[in-house]
Amino acid sequence: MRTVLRIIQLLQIPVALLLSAFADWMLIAVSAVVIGYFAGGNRRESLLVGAYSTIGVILTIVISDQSIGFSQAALFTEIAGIPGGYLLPLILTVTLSFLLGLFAYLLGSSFYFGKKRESEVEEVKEPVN
Amino acid sequence: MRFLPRKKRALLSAVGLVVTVVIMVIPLGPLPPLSNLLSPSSGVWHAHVPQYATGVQYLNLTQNGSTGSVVIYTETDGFIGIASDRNWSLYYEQGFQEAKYRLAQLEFLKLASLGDLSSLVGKSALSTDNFVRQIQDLQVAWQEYRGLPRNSYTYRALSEFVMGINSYISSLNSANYPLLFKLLDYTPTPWNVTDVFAVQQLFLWENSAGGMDPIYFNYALQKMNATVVRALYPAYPAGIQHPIVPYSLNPSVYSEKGNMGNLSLYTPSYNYTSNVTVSSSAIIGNYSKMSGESIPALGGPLVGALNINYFPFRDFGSNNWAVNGVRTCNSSALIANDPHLTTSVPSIWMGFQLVSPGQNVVGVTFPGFPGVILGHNQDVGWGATNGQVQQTYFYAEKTSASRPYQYYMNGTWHHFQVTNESVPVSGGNPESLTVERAANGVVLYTSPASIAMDWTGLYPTDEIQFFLMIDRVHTVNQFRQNLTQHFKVAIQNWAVADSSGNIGIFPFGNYPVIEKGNPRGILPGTGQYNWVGFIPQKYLPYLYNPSNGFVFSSNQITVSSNYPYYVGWDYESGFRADESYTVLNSSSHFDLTRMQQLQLNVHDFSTGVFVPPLLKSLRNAGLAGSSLYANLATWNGNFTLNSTVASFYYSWLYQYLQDVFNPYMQKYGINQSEGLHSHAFYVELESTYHGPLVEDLMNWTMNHPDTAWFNNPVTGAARNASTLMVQSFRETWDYMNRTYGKLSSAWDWGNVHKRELSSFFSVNALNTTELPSAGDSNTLDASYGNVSNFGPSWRMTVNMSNPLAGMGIYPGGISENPLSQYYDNNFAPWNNGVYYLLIPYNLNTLPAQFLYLYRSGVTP
Repeated sequence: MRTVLRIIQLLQIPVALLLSAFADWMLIAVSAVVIGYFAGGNRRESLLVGAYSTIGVILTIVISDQSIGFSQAALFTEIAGIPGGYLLPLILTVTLSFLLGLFAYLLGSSFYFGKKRESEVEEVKEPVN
Repeated sequence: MRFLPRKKRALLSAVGLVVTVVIMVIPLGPLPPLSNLLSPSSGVWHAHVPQYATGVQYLNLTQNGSTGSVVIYTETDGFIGIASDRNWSLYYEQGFQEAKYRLAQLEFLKLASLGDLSSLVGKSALSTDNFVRQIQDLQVAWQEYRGLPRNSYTYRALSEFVMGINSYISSLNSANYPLLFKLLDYTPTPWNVTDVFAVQQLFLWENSAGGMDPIYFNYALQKMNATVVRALYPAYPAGIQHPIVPYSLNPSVYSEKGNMGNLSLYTPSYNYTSNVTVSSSAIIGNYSKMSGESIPALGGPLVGALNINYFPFRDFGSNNWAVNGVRTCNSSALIANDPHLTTSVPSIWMGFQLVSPGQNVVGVTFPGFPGVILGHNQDVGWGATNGQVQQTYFYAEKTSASRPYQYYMNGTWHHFQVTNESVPVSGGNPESLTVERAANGVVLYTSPASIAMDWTGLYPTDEIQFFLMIDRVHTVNQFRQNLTQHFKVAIQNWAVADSSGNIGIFPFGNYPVIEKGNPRGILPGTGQYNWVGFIPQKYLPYLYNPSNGFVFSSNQITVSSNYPYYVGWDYESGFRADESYTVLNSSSHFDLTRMQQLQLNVHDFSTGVFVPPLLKSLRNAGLAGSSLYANLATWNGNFTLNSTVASFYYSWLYQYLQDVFNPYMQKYGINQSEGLHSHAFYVELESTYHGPLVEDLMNWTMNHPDTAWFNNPVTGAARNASTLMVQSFRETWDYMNRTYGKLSSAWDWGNVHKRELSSFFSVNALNTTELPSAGDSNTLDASYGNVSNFGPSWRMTVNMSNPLAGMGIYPGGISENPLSQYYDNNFAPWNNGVYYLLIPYNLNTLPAQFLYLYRSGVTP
């Protein structure tokens, strides 16, 4: 069961990739809500889904980029007088996509359809690696 | 630690989500929302660089049942060749290609021309928009559009051209917009024919000499008595002058009575009745932005970084010349041209070879214009420099508070033609603007007096038709006919050469004529000083196959002092013209190489004027023992990269100019807001030697070294050329030591003087790097300022006996996208004096169509 749930959560990566590549990247919040609803989760999983969202978005940039997008982002900061090249746009993009995934997943998981699992999950201790 | 209870978690996560979304969707100051800006699929992460691959592309265009075959040939030098078997598809494709590589530039030009910049960049562009609306760019454009026959070649060409632009725009989605559009959240709008005319009007304004000078100079006329004005500002400059059309070479145009005898060029025709200092400075301060004398920074968007070069077409100085068999020692005629405009990235030029039935022309055009403006075809080559002819006259209208919107002229009260405009402003409410137009111009200022400007460009003309027609001419005389018919505003010195060995120079256009008063200042608006017409065509200055075998211009004075009509006095110092005259007049066997050498000449003619008396003064002052003296004594006057003495001389002349004339500015209270540094009061060297004061300096130093005009007008201290030259020598020595250390290679001109290509949008981050540069503002290879961003924006040399070997280059590259390798790839070659074959006829890859009209049996 847990494996299935993990897979469902991991789906956020390709979904975020597709949404940010072909639609509006803010829609990654919708997919995170849906995944949260079906997968439920704990704090760690919420963070993971936030990270998966970020990975999907960044993959979109990297795949479509061929380095020219990063150059353009750096150009933008130069024009705006912001030091650090493309770092600030990158940090902002990472942060926003992470927050979208995180909050949306948390919101979705609040309405998790399987009440029982959530209570189980809440009692599960953080796994030790 | 337990996970939060469901309700609490739902509430907190919903709040967090909402906050995140809100942060993403609201515009943050001048920036568009982060959701758009950072969108991986369409924001700054998604870069679209239109591919510029050198080679050949074939396509068919179909329109209304007609199919045009198009061949596009692109070169690394940024030239795009377009050949088509239909004229319509040629211009369509040209519009498409201009939009493809210069969309942001096109849109900024359009908005600037329509007076709509504020809608893009905010309130800081309002004064520019207001001015463009006051000079009625759009209204005149509409009149020109309405006057164009729908079945004319020009109308068809313009229609197809804008269709090509629109076709490219419609092919884009927002993800592929230029970066600036994304940052400004701007969506390009379709073009129409009137937009092209509006851009034409902007070009005409910026190339109309005179500009706002009378507004400034009226101040001198009021403050100085006539004797001082005559000494400092002679209507015809003394000293070395080589007019473009001297009396000796064409006396026929000097035979009319003219109006010069009726004008009073040293006294004001109009005086402000209120406090002159307050009133005139108020006006001047207001107009400084409009005239381009100072370019304001747009503070609005992107923390003040984004701007636009408001005066993209402004011509600071240019060179052209043509030689015929007298100078080539064969039957050939050669032409050379290098117009000095802002050297920007993207360039103000685009290079095209255009081939269609009846034409094969190559050269450059402004983005937003169809055809080729400067270039050559198989029979004729041409180039332009600004004619410096005064085409703006200013009038103080007589108005009355009891008669709003009326002015008094010729004994009766008339109603202003009033237009109420609403100027859209980004981030604010629209601003209203009332434009008043009298019979003698548009009112630019209403307090303390209504000052109107009459400008030849306020009336519809058809210069674009001229540009399209000259692409097809076969002789110098055909060129001249088109010029006579179609080119009226922004008078240029058109130098022309043809394959039959003919040459000519034609500063044709509308030269206003008034019957009395002083056109150098403000005139009374009561009617008696209005234009009574233009100089008749047969008395316009020109040369055709002159006996000396050459024609030339470098923005110097147009005519000899006995020309019967007033044509203006806003001329270059003449040093470049002096240099080209000296070389052209003393040389023969001109070929393409020698034409290019002259174009790249970095000898400053002024050094021959000033250095000998300077050396003599130094000897008399006991300063002949220094190494600097020795360097000066052996210097050839060339501004080469490794010349240390060039750097010293450049600063010394600036200091000498200031030492002589700053006391006059001080005595008459002329400060920045009152026009200091404008044309008449130019005491700067940083950018140019333009202006009459340096001509006085030359004349006084050469011919009147002990004139009392050298005396300090403030303190009364006796001075002469010698004492002042030594004084400025000492000051410059101190300055150079302070700034560059002891005399060493640090003083080399190449270390002191650079060139850069500045961003067309005035975004410093988009400028190129600086390169050491030879030449200065007086050399034919002109490079104005310590870090020069204007100069030869296009260089062309052609032997019309072998036009296929014509060569040229423009700095920068074809692409406006800084991420493209073609953004600035021609900068270093241009700076190094490289020329490219305009038609690469020697390459097997060139499709045969591009040799149409050069080779028999070839069709477009």
